[in-house]
Amino acid sequence: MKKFIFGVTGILMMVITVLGYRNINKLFPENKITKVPLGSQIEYQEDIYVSVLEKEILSKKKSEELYEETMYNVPFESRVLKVVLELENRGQEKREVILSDLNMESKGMGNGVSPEYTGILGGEETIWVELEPGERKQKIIGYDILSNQINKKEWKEIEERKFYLTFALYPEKKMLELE
Amino acid sequence: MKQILKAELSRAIRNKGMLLALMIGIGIALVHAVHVMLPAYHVNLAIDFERYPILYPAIVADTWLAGNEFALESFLYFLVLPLVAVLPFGTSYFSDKENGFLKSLYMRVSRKDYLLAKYTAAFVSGGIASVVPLIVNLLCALTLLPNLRPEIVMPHNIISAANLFYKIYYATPMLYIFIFLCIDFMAGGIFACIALACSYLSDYKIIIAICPFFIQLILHVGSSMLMKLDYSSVYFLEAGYGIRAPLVAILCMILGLGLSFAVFVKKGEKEDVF
Repeated sequence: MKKFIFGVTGILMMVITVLGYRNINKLFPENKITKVPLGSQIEYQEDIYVSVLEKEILSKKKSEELYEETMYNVPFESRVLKVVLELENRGQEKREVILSDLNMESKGMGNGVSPEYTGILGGEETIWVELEPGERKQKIIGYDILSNQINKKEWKEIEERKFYLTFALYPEKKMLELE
Repeated sequence: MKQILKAELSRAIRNKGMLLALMIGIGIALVHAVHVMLPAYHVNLAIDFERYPILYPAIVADTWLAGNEFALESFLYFLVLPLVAVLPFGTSYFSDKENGFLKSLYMRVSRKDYLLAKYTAAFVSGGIASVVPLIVNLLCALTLLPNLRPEIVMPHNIISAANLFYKIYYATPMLYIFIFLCIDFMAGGIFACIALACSYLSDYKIIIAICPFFIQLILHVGSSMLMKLDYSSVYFLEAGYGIRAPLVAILCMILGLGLSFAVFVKKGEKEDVF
């Protein structure tokens, strides 16, 4: 009798799991990945197009100088990633574009845009841009690459890593390539 | 050897201690499913991902009991893991000695065979008691949450390139989960074997049963005070926290297994039970 109860419970659990698994994965299929090469444009928000013009991982010395300027206390070694963007308003209305959705990503590491570094590197401490209809504007933004997110061996080769700016994850992942 | 091993394995798996251990573990796993997974399921359905594409659904790999170290149930489960692992068979050597069963056994089988069988059975029972609740919780997660690839942008846990197996986690999360189930099985087994090795330390069963828990607690408190959480087994056994100090994790496993084996078998061979 005990074996029968265990058997029925086991089979029931498996059936529920299989049905639930099929149902939920039908509702949430794997996301499609779109990678945009350096210099190419992609729609960031409605009528707003973005492209990456340039990327630079600042040297250790330059990064440290920047930390001193920001008075920003990083408890572990880190480097600053500088990215030059171009934004274009193809709409008919004046727009204010917030860049906080542009997240830096590399394999197994990521970070949001840093207003402090953006301010020092680009001259204005804002992560938004005002665009008139038809206007194109360049904007420099900065990111912290933190050593606590990566093992020591890979940290030494940080400059050889591929970096992306990701601004959409689901249902489609949109990534701007930085190389 | 085969017969005694079979008998000990059967005793280790079919006993009230195992039932209690599974009830505690599965209880925590189900509370986690209701408290964390159900809300995550509803949030997934409520969010308009087309409108907010920067958001990512809560997924199996970063929401199940061992996948997210921020949930209270996860911390609690891995904190009491040594107690759960010891319950089925960790104190059985002590009980066998106390009720005189050991004397009659030693007349029929060699000490070494008995001790090896006891050690193996305790290891297996500890592993089963540790992993079954995790598997139950994982099945709940697979039923309620999508099995998508984890994303490093807007993460739900802290796995990064600083972790061991991080590439596996981001490429094939189910394989990563399987690896951690194996690690947790081993850890549960080691906790049960530590209790066996502690059987010679005290005349009280309760002291033996809580020895592995105190060893883990000392390790956890010590590493917390030194701000080295990566060294605490409460964290490195959790798939969602991951192994950030592989040498420490391997050393803990080897020391736990090696010392418990050496103490239990060597001392057991010489101990006077008659």
